[in-house]
Amino acid sequence: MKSSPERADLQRRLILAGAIIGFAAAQTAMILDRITEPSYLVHILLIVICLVGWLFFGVQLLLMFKMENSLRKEPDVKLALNDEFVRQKRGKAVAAAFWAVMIVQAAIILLNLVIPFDAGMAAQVTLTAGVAVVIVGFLYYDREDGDA
Amino acid sequence: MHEQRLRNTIKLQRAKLNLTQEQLADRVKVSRKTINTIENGKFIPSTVLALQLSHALGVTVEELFGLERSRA
Repeated sequence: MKSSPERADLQRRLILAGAIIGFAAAQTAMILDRITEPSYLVHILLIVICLVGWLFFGVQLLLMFKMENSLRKEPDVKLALNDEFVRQKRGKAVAAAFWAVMIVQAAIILLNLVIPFDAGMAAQVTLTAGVAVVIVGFLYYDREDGDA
Repeated sequence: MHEQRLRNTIKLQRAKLNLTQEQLADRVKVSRKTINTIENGKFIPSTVLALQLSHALGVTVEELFGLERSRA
């Protein structure tokens, strides 16, 4: 049987994976709705996907808060889940997200020369890239055979 | 050109005490992945963690960690 830190680590990975799926679905639907000028039916479908995505993302956030709360009773597990190696991986994920945001911003500036981008759309694409890369980056660096 | 690499004897010391990575991780309050990556030389621990590991394994830090020269 797996130890408690192992189970908590797996649970955290599952919650983060669920969160990124919900967030990506919601954001992709919103962006597609804005850029494609869809028919009424497709527009409704994209709104439904967006709402389901946000709902799923919200459930994962609630699960994360619940997990955080339950770990207050297990300080040793909490320490193991946030040890110096995990903190280093978190830092690398944030650094990767910073570069992703820079690249997306540069791409938007260049694209804006040929396709008009409104500020709301630019902000949404940048936010999506930043959040997606920080979560996917952490999951990538935190995999079983991840490099330091 | 020579470069210095950090080698460690954690696996050997663990074997002497018949400890699994998980058990050692529990003793120093880190995750098993952390112990695994330190053992494989992928992650260099802080001085604090190195001291905690040496205490948990009942050896000195010098016995646990050392520098080895390798060709770059």
